Amino acid sequence: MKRKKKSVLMDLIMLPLCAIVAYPFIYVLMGAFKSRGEFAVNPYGWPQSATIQNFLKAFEGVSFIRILWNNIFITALSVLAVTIISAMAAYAVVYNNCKVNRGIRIYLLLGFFIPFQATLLPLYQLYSSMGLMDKLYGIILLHAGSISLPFFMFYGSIQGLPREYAEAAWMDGCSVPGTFFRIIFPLTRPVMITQVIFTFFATWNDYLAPSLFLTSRDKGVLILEVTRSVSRNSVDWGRSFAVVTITLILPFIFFLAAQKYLISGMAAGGVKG
Amino acid sequence: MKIKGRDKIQYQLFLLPAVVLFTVFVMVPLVMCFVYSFTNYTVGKPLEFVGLKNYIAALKDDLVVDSIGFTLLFAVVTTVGITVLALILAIAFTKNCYTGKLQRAVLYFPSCISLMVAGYAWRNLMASGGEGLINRIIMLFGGEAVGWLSSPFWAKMGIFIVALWIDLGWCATLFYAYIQSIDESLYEVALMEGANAFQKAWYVTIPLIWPSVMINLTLLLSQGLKVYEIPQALTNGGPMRTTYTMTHAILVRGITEWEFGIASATGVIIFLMTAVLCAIQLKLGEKKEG
Repeated sequence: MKRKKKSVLMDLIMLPLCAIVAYPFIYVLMGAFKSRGEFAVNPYGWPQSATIQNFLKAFEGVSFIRILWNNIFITALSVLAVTIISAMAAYAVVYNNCKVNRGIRIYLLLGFFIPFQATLLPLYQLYSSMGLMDKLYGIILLHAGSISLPFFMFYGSIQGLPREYAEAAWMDGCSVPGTFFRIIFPLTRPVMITQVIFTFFATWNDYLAPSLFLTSRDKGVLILEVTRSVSRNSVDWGRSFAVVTITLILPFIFFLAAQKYLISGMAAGGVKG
Repeated sequence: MKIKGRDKIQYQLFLLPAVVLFTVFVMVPLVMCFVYSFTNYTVGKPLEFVGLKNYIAALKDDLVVDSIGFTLLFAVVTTVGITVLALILAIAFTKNCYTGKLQRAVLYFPSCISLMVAGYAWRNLMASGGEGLINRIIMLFGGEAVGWLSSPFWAKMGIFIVALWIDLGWCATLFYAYIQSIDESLYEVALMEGANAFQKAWYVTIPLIWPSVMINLTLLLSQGLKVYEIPQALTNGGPMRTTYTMTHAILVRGITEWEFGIASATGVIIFLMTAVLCAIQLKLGEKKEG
């Protein structure tokens, strides 16, 4: 295929649009380095006297590090649990393809039809009565139960693997779990990466579930901290934006590292996390 | 290859965590939501079947009805707006230029952040009066300040704009990926027939990626029905509850006021709408493959 000529015209049209789209991020980032006084007179421009006071203020007191840790802990364990649980289920359904398991496959896929909003009130009640309120693992369990999309993705991937791999492993005396962990699970890597990215964004950015089920401050996550500070009467935007900046770092790194998987995964599955 | 009995048990053990967690945290709550919507649930009393009373009460409840109205408006307006603009943007992406990769990355990134963060970032930019940046720009060009988050109409517009900002980029990138898979020779034929750029887009590009666009439409619609965070962060449901979503209604009636019947009926309504959209999506997906 011949290369088309590059035109500068499109750059000239698109770059201003990109600048507009990027501005809210730049605004937040600049705000994070402005003192309270400066933010009041110069909220939108370049910081005249940049200060890291806001970040230091945010980290003041032990609780902030604790909250940051809660965020990382919930996300890491949720991603791990979702990945292993859904891959295991997909493996069992593909390799023990009996009538019951075909039914279970459809059952697990029903989750696509169920919005969190419809289950929210009964969950609130269950959490209160089961003592899961204000527990980090309560949120992790909730994520680990919402496995329809990852299960669907792993099912497609394992279904597409040649049966010979697993059969050879059995011949050599590999057990059912052994075959999964040594042969099948590693072979699902491309799908696994896409799935990990989707689950990461879904859990790291989740607001509704933590806002309902994590009620005390030191059990909270970063975004709840932002909500708290913003709903006060006089908002210290510099400090709030410093916290927001910290919540943006990991998604940004993930985004840069995983761009091509994000797009190819979306195109293949026709889904977004 | 035949599976031995002992292996069979091992396979079923592999399924157990998924089935148990899914049942406890998704299926049981859904069934409970249905049960509550048909009964007069109050703490400490036995459940009593009340038929459709809760649904009738919900549909007479202004808060619930208005929130359904705004949620549907949001879902339809953002879905149509995002899809049309994303198609235009995706076709613009196909023009070769120097910074294409950078453009796609910048436009995609807003979809990777928390919706609450998106709302907070825009809140000051859309402040009413002469304080918000957007109003400052409007006034610079001699326009009049807009009551972005204080008038019911402009608050809705503000929410739509933020939703567009979040979803436009990934949608356009997805459509761009579909366009890339179109056979180049079709464009050469179009060129020989003397088609201009608009005709190429209208008669070649869009019809060929239309099945995927349709699936994406249903996806955006069902995502739109779940809207909560953007209005929550941007307007807090205001002014005067005009930007309350169905999720707001469930939270206010259910958790704040403990009206489980009405709130559960609202939950069932949002479930039914989502389920219908998913069924349509599945049908379209089958057609595309078949």
